[in-house]
Amino acid sequence: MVDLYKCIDGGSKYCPCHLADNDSCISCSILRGEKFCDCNWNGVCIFYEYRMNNYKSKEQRKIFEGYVEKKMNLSERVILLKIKVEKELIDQLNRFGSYVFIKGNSDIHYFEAPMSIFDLDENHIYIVYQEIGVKTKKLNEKLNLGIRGPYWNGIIGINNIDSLANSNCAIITRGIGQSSIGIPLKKLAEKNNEIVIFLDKGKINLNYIDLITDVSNLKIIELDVLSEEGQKQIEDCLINNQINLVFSAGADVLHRKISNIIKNINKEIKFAATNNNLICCGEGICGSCTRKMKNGKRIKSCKAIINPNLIY
Amino acid sequence: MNRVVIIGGGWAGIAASISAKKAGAEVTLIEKTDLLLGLGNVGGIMRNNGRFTATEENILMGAKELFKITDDLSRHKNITFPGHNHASLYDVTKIEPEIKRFLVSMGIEILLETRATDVVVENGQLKAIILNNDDVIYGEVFIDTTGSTGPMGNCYNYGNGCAMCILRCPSYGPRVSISEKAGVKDLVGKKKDGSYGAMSGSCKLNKDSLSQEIREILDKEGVLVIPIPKEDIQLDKLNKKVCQQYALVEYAENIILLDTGHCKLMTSFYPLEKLRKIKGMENAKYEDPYSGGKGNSVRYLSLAPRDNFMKVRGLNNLFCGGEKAGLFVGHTEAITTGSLAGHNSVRYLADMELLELPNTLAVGDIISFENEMKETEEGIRDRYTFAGSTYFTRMKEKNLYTTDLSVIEEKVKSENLIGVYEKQLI
Repeated sequence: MVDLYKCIDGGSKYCPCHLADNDSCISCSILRGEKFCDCNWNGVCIFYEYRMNNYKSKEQRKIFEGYVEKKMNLSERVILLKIKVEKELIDQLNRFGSYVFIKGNSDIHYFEAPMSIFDLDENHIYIVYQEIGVKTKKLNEKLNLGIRGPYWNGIIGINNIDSLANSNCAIITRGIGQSSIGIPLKKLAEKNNEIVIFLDKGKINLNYIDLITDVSNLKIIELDVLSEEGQKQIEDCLINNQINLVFSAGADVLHRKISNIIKNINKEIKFAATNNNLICCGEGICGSCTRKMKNGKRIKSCKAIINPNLIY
Repeated sequence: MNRVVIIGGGWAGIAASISAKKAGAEVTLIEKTDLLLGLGNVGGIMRNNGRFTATEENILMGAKELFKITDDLSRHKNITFPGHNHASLYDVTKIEPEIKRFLVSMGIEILLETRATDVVVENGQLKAIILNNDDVIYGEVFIDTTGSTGPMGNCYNYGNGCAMCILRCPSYGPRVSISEKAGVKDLVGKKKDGSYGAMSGSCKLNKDSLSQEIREILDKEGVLVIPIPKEDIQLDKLNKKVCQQYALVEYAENIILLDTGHCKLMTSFYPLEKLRKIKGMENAKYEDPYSGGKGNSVRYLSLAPRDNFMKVRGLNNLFCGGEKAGLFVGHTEAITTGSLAGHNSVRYLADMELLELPNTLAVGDIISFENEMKETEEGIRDRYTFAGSTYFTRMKEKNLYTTDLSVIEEKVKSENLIGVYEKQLI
C-alpha cells in the first residue's frame, strides 16, 4: 500500500501529468501500478481522466514570453519587476499560492527561478525578489524573459485559506515573505474577511505592502515577529480578535514560531504557510522539493497538498 | 464517553446504529452521500425464500424496526417470481426518508455528505476517523459498514466501467476501506471463473418509459416475465453477477421485471438497443444505474477478515457488517450482520462477553458458514444469501428454513435470544 496525497494539479487541465505516464501519480493507486482502486480524492477520478485521454498525460505547461516593462529597486538588492505576459497565463495565476519559474529567455533551463506572484493586472504580473545567487543576480538585466507556469502549490495548507469567508484573519509576514501575500490579501478581502497584518521588515529592512494595487484601509502593525514581545503581541491579537486563520509568509523559522503560538492558544485556528522548499521542476519529478514530515513520511511539496501541522 | 462511530449509512450501518443505540451507546453514523441506504435505494426485495425465516428470527431477537418499515412500505407482498416464493417488494421511492426519520427519532447522530478517508490507530486500537476535510471524529468503538462496491477504478478494471450508480463516486468521492486504512489486509471476492469482484445483479428502468400495459401488470401483480429474443440470449452472463440467487436459467432466457416503485430488471445490465426490441419497452430508459445499458457497479473488492462476533481481526475495537463483512447479498443479510455488529460493539464497551449467534438459527449459521467458506478457493467464488443458491440449499438441508412462526419462535426461545437486542447494556 502506498501513501496517497491530494495533488494541487488534480483535475486541472494539466492532469494527468508526467507522473501518471510513469506510474508515479501521487493520488491514484492504479496510476502507481497497483491492482486495486484507492486514492486521495480531490474531486475527480484521475484514472478515468487518463483513460479518457487514451492513456496519455494531457498537454503540460509551456513557457510563455515575458517582457519587462518596468523595474524598480526597492533597495540595493530588492527588485520589483512588472512583466508583460499573455493573458492566458495571467488568468490562471489569479489564485492563492500561485507562482511561476522565470529566466532570461535565452538562458538554459537551470536558471529558472521560482517566483511568487506578488500582484497582477490585466496584462502584467509583478514579482518582488532579492538578488541572492546565480539565478537572481543578473535577472534585472534581462528584458525578455521565459516564464513557465502556472503553478499553484505556493501555500501549504491551501484548503484552510482558499475558501475562508466572513472571518477574521491574521497575515504575519517578514522580509521578502511579503512577496507572497499580495494575491492572498486581495482574495481574502474579496470574501469579506477582516484582515490584520503583522509586518516585520526583516533583514531587507523594507515594508512594500503599499505597492500592492487595489487594496485599501489595511491594518498593518510593524513589529519584530521573532522577538518575545512581538510574539506576545501576536498571541494577544489572535485571542482577542477571535482570529480564525493565520497565514504565515516568511522563512520556516517564522512558520515554526507561529505554529507554536497557535498550538498554545487554541487548536481551532487554521494555519497556512508559504512553501519555502527548494522548487526546481514544479512537476514532482526532480525531487528537490522533497520534505520529511513529522510522521516520518516524505512528500514532494511542489505537488502534494499537505496539512502544515505535519511539517511545522 | 461511550461513543460508537459507524462508517457507512447503508442497511448494515443503519441496523448497527439502531442496535447500538438500543444497547445504550451514543451513536454517530457517517455517510458519504446525501442519502442513507446506499444500494437499498435501488433494491427492494425482502422475505423471499430463506429471508422470511431470517427476518422473523431477527424480529424475535429484537431487531424489528427496519423490517416493520419495509413491510409497511411494501408495494407487493407474498408474491412469487422465478425461483422465489413469498417475496415482498418495498417501495424504493419512499423508503429512505422513512428510515432517516426513524433514526433521527431514536437520537442517532447522522452525518451526511461526510466521507471518512483515514484513521488514527494506536496500539491496535482505533482512536478516531479522519474525514475528507481533515476533521477528526473520536470514538471508543467503530463499525465499518462501508460496503465493498467500486470505486471507479475497480469498476473499470473488473467490470464494464463506471455505470453511474447510486453510490455516485464522481459527486461524493470514492468509498474508503476503514479496515485497510487501519492496517488490516482486506480479502477480495472472485467470480466463478476466478477473476476478481462481481457485478451488481439488477438495474432499474424508469416505469413511465414503459408501455401502459407493462406498467399496469407491474402495479397489479408486482412481477412480469418476458421472453428474450432468441438471438440475444446469453447464458454465461449469469456467472458474472453478485446475486447468484437470481442466476437461474430463467433469468438468462427471460427479462424478469419486479415492481419496486421503479421497474427492477433482474440482470446486471442490458444494452439499451436490445432492450428496446422488446414489445412495450421501445421507449425504455434506465433509472439506475444511469448507464445500465453498459454495465453496473462491481462489488466484493474489499472484505474485512472477521470473527463470528463481527469483530475485524487484527484490531481490538473495530467491527464490521454488510458486504464489508463477507460475500453476503441482500438487505436482510446486511441487517442481520449489522444488528449483531452494533450490539456487540456495545458489549465490547461494557466489557461483556460478545454474542455469537448459534448455528441452530439461520442468522447465526450464515455468519459462521460464510466465514468458513471464504477461506477456500471454491468458497471465495460463491455468494451467501438466505434467498437462494448455496446457502438456501443448505438451509433446507439443515431444516433451518421454515415459514412457520411458532417454530421460529420456539427455536429463538430455546437459545435464550428472545429480545436480546432490546436489552440496554450501558
